Amino acid sequence: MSRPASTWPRIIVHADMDAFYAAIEQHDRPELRGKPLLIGGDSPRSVVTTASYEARPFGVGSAMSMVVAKRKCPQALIIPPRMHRYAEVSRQIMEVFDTFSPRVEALSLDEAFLDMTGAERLFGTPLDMAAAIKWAVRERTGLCVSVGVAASKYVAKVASDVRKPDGLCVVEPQDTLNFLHPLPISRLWGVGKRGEEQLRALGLATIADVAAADPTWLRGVLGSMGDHIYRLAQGDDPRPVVPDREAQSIGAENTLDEDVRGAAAIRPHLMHAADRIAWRLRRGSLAAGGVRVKLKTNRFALHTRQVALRPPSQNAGDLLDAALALLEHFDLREPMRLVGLAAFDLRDLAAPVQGELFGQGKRQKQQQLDAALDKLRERFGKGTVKRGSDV
Amino acid sequence: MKVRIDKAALMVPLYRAQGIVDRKTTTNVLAGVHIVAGEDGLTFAATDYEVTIAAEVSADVTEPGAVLVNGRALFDAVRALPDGATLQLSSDANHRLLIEAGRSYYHLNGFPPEEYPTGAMDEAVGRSILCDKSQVETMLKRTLFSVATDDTRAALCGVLFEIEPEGPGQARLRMVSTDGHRLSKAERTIAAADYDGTKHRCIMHRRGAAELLRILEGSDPSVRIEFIGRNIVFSSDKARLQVRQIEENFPDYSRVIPEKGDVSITLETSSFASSLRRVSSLGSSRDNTVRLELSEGHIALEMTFPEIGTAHEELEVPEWKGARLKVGFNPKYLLDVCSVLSTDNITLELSDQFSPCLLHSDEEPGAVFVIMPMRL
Repeated sequence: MSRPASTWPRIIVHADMDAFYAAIEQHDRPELRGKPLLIGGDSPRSVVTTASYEARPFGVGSAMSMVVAKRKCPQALIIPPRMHRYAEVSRQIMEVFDTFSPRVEALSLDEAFLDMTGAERLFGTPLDMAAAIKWAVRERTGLCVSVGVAASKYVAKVASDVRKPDGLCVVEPQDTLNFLHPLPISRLWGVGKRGEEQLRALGLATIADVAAADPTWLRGVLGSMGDHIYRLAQGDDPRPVVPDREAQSIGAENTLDEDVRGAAAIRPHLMHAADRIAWRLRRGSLAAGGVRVKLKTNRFALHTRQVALRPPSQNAGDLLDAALALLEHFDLREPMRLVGLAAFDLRDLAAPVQGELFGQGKRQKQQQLDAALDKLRERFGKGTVKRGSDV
Repeated sequence: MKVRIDKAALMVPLYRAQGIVDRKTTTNVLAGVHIVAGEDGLTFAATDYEVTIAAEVSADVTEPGAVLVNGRALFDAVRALPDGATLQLSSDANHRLLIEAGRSYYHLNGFPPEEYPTGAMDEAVGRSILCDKSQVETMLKRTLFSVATDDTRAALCGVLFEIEPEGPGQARLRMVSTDGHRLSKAERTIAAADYDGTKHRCIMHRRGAAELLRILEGSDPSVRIEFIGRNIVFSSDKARLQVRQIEENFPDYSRVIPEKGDVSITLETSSFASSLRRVSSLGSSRDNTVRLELSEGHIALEMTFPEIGTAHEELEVPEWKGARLKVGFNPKYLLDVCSVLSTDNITLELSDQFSPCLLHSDEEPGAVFVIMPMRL
């Protein structure tokens, strides 16, 4: 049983839809229920965007190449994605979240943080809140969402994941360390496959091992990453939930399973980040006046470059073009372990925009092209259309 | 070198060099002003390779010579000395310049004068156009303000100069500038002695254009324009200013200047400007937009400031034709045009809230301005 919520310094909810695309397909087409599904294209270059829970015991997961996934789970049904439908359901989910808190930070189509601090009188204990959110999402969409509640974003995110699918996990503030410490180090935010190997080589297997380590030594061997994971292992994550409308910047970054080297290898990660950021900009009716690229080398040296975006844009293609141009200003000879992109100088899209005397025609054509590409992607999925330069 | 000169006379060439000397470093010869004392007086030169200036001033030279000293420091030193003072300048073997006035003196460290790139200034080639200074000055003032100030589009960072023949002893001089949001064009037929009829078209960087305005402040009624290779050179009032052209294609400005608009209103310039100033006086509005509502016989101006409130003003419009229209503008753009046009009346012509607005006055047929609206 939850204690009185007033002992919580903050109440942070992380809500994450279970196998989102696959769940929608199974909901919309009852004949698919209980069957292993792989959502994605069926060409040699396609990847799995989502695998249903029925397919996961076969070792299939998202981002896996479709060819490999088919080999592991030959009986799986391959379903081409219907992005417009997923976006529609996503809007419904976000509307549900918005009824629970004014402070919703949407991370992607199917995942969000809600700051529910001070909402005890409306919704009861954190456990009541989590149950109410799960119920409301199921009521509206017929889908399951896993919910984690904790006093920080990091712990809430881990909590939503540990009991998936249909999970509900409330981590009382005083239980934070008991909850975190038995978990493997891969649960630390920012620790990927490579980081895991690195930490294991140092004799660290669980979060408890990291928490018990000497922070000075950690910093010595891992640099700023050492500080970061030490703090997380103490359950210390002060980052606030920032609704996109209020954000100073919106970023997406990815610590990679394997280091990448060179612009061509970095490009797909930037493209993915640009897509996510553009989606969040659109959700907040914002346009970015600047773009920042962040790269971390395998020796943990962090490099950033930024550029103004004129005119401001909320379009993934514009963000990507600016990011790719920035890549030329980095030394790309070193392998990179992290690729990040952020949009900053955010402006209200409803605000008046100064008209341009020249290049209006070119810009309009670009917008028409983008709109057409968006439509194609919505109908046939992300991988269907590519710019000629990407092939 | 040893020279006697009045403070006021010395200030003129030093002031003109200020825009060119490099303020960021003090150890660079480009931060220096090169002073040569000859028989008749002093020659001052400064360059950053893009803009080069040379100015002469008469002085009582007792011993010829040359120095190269920090231009900023020399200007500050001379300016601080008492008005009306007669100064004594002298150099020593260590390239130091001593400035004495009564019981005050400055000792400025210098560079070896031969390090100054004297070749930066082109020699005159003989083909030049002599024209009325005030014409050039007026046109420059009407265009320089709308030059782009960020360097992302190089072609827009300067004023476009165009000269074409127009009858004997005359030329059509045109200046155009745009920052991508607004455009200014000033053209006039001017008396141009010595003009050989060659067409010229070049972009002059805003820094050079600003220096030209300083030179035109002098008492000389005329200015001589030369096109030498990649440079455009102006001579007036014993000063010679050379500006490197921006070698980019200026956008096709004629395409974006509307012929006329469906809606046309003519207002008293000063009352329009006062109204604009009043509605934009509540500080900086985040969207920085004045909303104009045009209806028969009058115009309403309104600006909203988040968290502060709203400013509203209405004006009678004596001359009005066309339909009702609502349109938004950056108020500064409208005010800038009002202040440089300096005519009694101003006419605004619009087609709709998305299309460029044309501003002009019957009193000044050569001057037209275009402002893109804010998309509301």
